[in-house]
Parts: sequence; structure tokens; C-alpha cells
Amino acid sequence: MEFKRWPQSLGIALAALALCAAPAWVGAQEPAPVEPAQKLIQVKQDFETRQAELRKGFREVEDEEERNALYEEFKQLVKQAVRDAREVAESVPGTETAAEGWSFVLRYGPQAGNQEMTRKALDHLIEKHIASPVWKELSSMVGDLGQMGLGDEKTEKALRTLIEKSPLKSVQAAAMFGLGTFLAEQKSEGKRAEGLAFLRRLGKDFADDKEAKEYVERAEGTIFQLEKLQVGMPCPDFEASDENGAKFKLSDYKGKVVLIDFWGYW
Amino acid sequence: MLPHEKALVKRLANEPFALLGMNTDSENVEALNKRFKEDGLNWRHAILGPPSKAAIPTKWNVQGYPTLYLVDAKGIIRKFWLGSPGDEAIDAEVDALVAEAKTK
Repeated sequence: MEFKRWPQSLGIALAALALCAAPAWVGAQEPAPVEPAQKLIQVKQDFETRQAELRKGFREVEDEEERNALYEEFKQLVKQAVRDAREVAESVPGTETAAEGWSFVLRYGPQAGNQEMTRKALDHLIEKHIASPVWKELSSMVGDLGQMGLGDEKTEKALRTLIEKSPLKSVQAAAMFGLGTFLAEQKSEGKRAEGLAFLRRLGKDFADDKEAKEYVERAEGTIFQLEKLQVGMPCPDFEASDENGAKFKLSDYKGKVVLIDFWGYW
Repeated sequence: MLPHEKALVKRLANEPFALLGMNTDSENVEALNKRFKEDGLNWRHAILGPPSKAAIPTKWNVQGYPTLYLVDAKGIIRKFWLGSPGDEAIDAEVDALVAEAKTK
């Protein structure tokens, strides 16, 4: 299976680099002692540097075993960084540095395979830091919270709280998307209907919101997939241009079995 | 994927079957056409553009690559895979639907 997994974690990692580059937030809550704040910056920088090296190596190395070794090293690296960030966060509870530490843990905990720590980070961020600017960089992962296996009740409660209490539109929208997709996959028919209702609400509640646009679009895609692209349904027709510039439709192939393959060399 | 797809297209050349590549690379049509020819990908490809901008993958909520939909001769979706299920699984499902198409 050549499913493209690395670029995905890379995307998250790159987003984190942007986070590292951002200036330290000042005075949103009581100022943190200088030392832990600097330690956290160091943890993030070391992580960033080593992971950039590993990423480069992963691109250049062709040998499967060497690639696996690099991926293993990445996993160890991310585990250690998550432990370090958590240590800093716990040493200065309630401060903006703690919020940044927990934010790192929430972002990378899933990649480190540490669900307990990820849950803990989520709790801290919601209970003590709901107004922190770190949430700006977290919205992309909030949208995927429902897929992280953090425990059904916990996920649902966290997402509902974020929809209601977050002061940021992007986080509200991401949480609504996350809750909608999460509920839409549940067994109970009531929950599935509620999930679809949340996904539809996105387009209405955030229609004019630039920061929420991504989630509005993803919600539309998810609704389309749930209502039109399920096994047993007639496949929606599409029109496209081929490699010779000729237009064609899926319906041109009626009477034939068609394997539709979304792919890319990239 | 690609070597298996070449074999699949060749094996079912005279059967009621078509493989449609939904290509999401950022190169232009000419460059891709050349590359497909060099690589011997002699089945039809929709040129969609990169995933972040492409209309159909966005509308269809494509979450990863490859994503595969297997549609029967009547146009009904019979299988969906996010990530390849493996060459044998694809062959088995395709062959079953081709046989079904020929008996009806």
C-alpha cells in the first residue's frame, strides 16, 4: 500500500513551524517566569531543526529500510518533544507558556501515539486557556479531533464546549465541523442526523466568514459524500477534461464497469 | 498502483471495463500527457489540478490518495476505498462486476 502518510504529518509539522516562528504572546494572562518560556522555545527549536533534517533525509533516501529508520527516529523525536513540552506546561500552570506547551502536546501527541497526554492537553486548554491565542494555530487539528480516538464522550464534550465558548470564529467553525463529522459517523440514527445538521449549520452560521471558509467547504464535501457517494447509490456524474484536452463525462461509460482512481505522481 | 493498473487495463482490454485516472498533479496538460505516454499509462485521465484547488476532489471530499470508487455497469457505486486495498482485492471486485455486467 502506497498510501501517502508522511506528507500529512509533514503538513501538521509545517503548521507547527509557523507556530514556532510566531512571537511569544505577552500578558494575555499572568506573565510566566522567563525560564520555562525559554525552555519551551528551545524544545520547539530543537524539534524543528531535527525534524527538518529527517524530512530532508526522507526525501532523498530511496532505500525502504533507511526510510523506515528515519520514520522511526521521527517518532522517537516527537515522543521526547511532547514529554518535554508537557513538563514545561506543568511547571507553570495557568500561564501563557503553559498554554503554548499544552498546544504543542495537543498537536503532536497523536503522532507520538500518546492519547492520554493528548486528552490531558485538550482538557487543560479548554478549562484554563479557552481565550488563549494558541487556539488560532490549533483550529486545523480541532476539525480532525473526532478522528483521533480520544474517547467518544470526551471528544463530543470538548467539541461542544469549543463551539459555545471559544472566542475565535475559526475555532468555533473547526469544532462544528469536527463535531458534525464525528456525529455523522456514529451508529445511532439520532446522532447521525444531528451530525448532518451541524454540518449544514456551518454554511449558514459562517457564510461570510473568511477564516471559516475551509470548514464550510469541507462540510459541503462531507455532506455530498454522505448523501451521494455511499455504496449502493448511483454514482454522481461529472464532466472533466482529459490528457488530450477532450471533455468527457462519467455517464459516457454507462454499460461498463468503471474504476475511478483519484491519484497523483506528487 | 501503476504497474498493477497497467496489467489490469491490458487484461480487461476487451471486456466492459474502464479505468479512469483522476489526476491531481500540478503540471499542465501537455507535460502530463507526455509523462503518461513515457510511463505507458494508456488509459484516460481527468486532469483535475492539485488537490487543494481541484473542484471534483473538493466536492467529493477526497481525504487521501489513492481514493478509489468502483462503479458497476448500471452506474451504481459498489465499492469505495480510501487507500488501496491491494492488487488482489481490486482484481477480485472488478472481475466480479465485469462477470455480472456480462450476464445481464
